[in-house]
Amino acid sequence: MLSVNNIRKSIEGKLILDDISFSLEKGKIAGLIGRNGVGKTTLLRTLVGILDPDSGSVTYNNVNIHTHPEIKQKIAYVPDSTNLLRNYSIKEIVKLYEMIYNDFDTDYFYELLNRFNLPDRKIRGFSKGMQALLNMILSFSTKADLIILDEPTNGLDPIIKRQILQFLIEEVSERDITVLLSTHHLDEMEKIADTVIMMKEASIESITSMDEAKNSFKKIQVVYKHSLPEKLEDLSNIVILNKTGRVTTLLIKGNVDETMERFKMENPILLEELPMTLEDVFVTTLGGEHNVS
Amino acid sequence: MLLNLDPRSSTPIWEQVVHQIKELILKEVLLPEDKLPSVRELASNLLINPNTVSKAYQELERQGIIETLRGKGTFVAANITPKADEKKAEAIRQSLKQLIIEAQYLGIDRETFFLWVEKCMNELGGTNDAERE
Repeated sequence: MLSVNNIRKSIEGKLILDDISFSLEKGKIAGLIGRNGVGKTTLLRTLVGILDPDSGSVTYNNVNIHTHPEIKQKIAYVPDSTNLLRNYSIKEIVKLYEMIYNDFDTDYFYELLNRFNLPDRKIRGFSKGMQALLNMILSFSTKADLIILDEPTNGLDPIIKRQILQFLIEEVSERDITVLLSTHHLDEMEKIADTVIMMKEASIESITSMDEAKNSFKKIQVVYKHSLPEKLEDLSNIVILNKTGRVTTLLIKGNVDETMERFKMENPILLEELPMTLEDVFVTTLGGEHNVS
Repeated sequence: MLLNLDPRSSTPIWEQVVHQIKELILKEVLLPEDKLPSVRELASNLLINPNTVSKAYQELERQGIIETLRGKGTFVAANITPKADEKKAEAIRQSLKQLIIEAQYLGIDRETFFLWVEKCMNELGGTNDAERE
């Protein structure tokens, strides 16, 4: 189990991670979402020990990864851009990984290389999609139990994206591993993740299981004879998404059933539930008036 | 096997899987003793979390609709015996009542309503009824 305890990190005087805590159980797929610049990559880099936190700790199976780096044999990390290995050939990369990871499964690696039709030559000639696939294959061949991926499907065509996600799902169903991935593809997350971790302004805004997310948010459309009664408009757990004439679209956050009752009590002309996406939640909780930082 | 999942629906995905497999069985697309795809196959085909598929399979197994044979896989149960579930039956009765109320207001007459019920039941393999008793 990965456990993150109150980590803080400032870079060049700016607080990037502010008191972050969460834990991830085995066999889960967790999605880390948040706007650009919110600290996702810094968080991932701190989890794998590339960066040291200013305070707090990260433990994997109760071993602190910063003071006992040997536990990192069990963790594989794929950064979002890997120009580092560009001048290597496949053979050289395999050698490197064999040196780093004791359990690196070379046979399995070549089997996968074959399965995905990747050429056995220098990485320089690989397309972006081929590189992304190679990185996935490498990280899963380490036989690590915790795989951390920074935007694994960013900028890939739909076919490679599907291949990558299918491969990830197969690996998770085969060997009880934990995957933590950051992404902006919310539609993918809705189906793949068990847990969604949302980051906002250097801290964790919410951690929800996907099943829960469906129950703790509701998107509705209401029409009242005159306008939306003020006492409803002033409720603290609603966010108004849009008002067109008398029609109001809004999102209810938490306390869903009771809030729905209150809307019904004011005799609406129309009250209907709308399909809700993770994107709605994302935009309303993390959007705000802020510009991209 | 392709299921039609809607991530936007307020019904959780695992429940959608349960409903659709039940429907496929009623429509006799899946026959008794047919092998179902493994958790891994179904999850990677539908691009959904393997835990979601496991959860759906567990529920179907609990309801006696499918059975897992260790080392062999998951199969549609040879004979699906209807399980008495008071609570569920009551819920169905309530939804039916609601439907009838709505139908009345829309001016749908008794005959049409019964005709629809019959048509639905035939579509979903109502012929099996006799065997199941």
